[in-house]
Amino acid sequence: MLELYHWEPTFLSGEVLIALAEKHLPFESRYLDLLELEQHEPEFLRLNPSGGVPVLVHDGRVITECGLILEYLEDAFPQPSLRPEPLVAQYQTRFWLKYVAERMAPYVSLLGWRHLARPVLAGASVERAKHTIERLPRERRDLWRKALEERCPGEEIALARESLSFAALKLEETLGGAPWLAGNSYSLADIALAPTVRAMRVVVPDMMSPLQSPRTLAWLGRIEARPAVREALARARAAAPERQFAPGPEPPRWG
Amino acid sequence: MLEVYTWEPNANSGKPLLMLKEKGVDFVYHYIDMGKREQHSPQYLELNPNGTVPTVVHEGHVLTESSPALEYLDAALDGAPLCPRDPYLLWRMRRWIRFMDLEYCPALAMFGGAGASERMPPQEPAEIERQVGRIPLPERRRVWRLILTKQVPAAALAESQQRILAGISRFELALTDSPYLAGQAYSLADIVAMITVYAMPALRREEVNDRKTPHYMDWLRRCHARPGARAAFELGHGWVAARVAETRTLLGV
Repeated sequence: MLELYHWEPTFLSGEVLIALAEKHLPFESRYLDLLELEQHEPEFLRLNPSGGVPVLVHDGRVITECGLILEYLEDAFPQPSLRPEPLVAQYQTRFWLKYVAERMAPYVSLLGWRHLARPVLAGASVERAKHTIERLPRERRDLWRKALEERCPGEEIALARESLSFAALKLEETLGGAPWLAGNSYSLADIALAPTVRAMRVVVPDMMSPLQSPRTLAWLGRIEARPAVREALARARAAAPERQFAPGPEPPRWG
Repeated sequence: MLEVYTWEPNANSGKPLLMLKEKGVDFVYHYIDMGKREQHSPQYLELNPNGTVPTVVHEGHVLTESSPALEYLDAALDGAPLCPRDPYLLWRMRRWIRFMDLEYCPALAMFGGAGASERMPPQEPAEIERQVGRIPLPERRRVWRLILTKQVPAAALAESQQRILAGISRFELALTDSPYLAGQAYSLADIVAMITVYAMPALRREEVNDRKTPHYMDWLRRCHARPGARAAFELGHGWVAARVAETRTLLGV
């Protein structure tokens, strides 16, 4: 049996929901509201001590980490295949899985939280959150504590924007040479990147303008037209799911 | 034809060296001296615009991300496979590699960077900006500016210290149940971890020893005893060889 602990079908939870739909895999959906801090309940922390989603449970085995869950699904359920045949295309797929986890998602999350999610959070929820995060492991707690404070150093915002701008150029360049991120076929790389790039459209719209990123937007349009992607996105519960962010993952600490 | 452009058999630089020696595959080793910051030279940036090491070139394909490159090489080259076939063990292997790449190596690298920063002679701000200006990745620019201006924050260093200690327990716990990180067989997870933590018994004597971390120590013994590891470390220029020799004495291998 497959169970997926997830939030809205956008951003990090989105990629796994899309992959499950592409592979026509039935699963039990376990929705956690991250802004209600349901991922910090002891029951969930027993499953994933770092308190992050998405988490896949397959016949009792706990599979964590974006990108790596996609690889697991591909290894455990190879058909229909979302991994290209050529080894160099597999390398490119893994290049992007790492790139989005390390150099894109943390910055999209940081800016999305700062500009969209944090400002609409009521004072009472902030106070409650400060109390709840005490039970988290230290690293995760520090991340939340910092995020709940009003101020964010300008240089962190600047670095986040600079890194995302670099990523936007890289995407545009890659999609100039091939229709999909790992070459000629739609793959795990496209599934992993699409939800983060959709979030960039909201968080850093200047970098995702038709003038700046025409190929990336066309690529995203092709992905959004896929039935599996529509099916995944239809699971949204929030009114504006693409504006929902919670603190994490942590930006790279040392380059 | 297989070429590896890299620095020492140490951390990220060393990953393809250890892996290829384990496989027993011939390759051309182009030494990129990070001490002289040759990874930011115009010639090198032409090959790898990110200015990071290693770069692996195989049959015309230029591979610049080391962990994905290892999976590529394992599938493309002859020799005993270094990835488990079972999907769950394969996930475990990749989970360890991601932990090393995104969490543990950065914490250790911060210590290395701070040490190097202290040893460097002071430089004029204009010279520092010139050097930093050659670095393509924004995050790497920020880090090198901290190193060259000798401003690695004490709080960040203390945080890295915490993570290094937590990582030691993580290794000990994982290796209590199985001889290697992804199960019964030596895999890319061990290669990626080993090339970064190979000298922990010498560098962290208080925390990594037979009394406190017996399983971690035995794993290091098994890894160091492999002919591939010996061959890879022999490629080192000076300081790596000295660290390895000191560690081997402590381990008794």
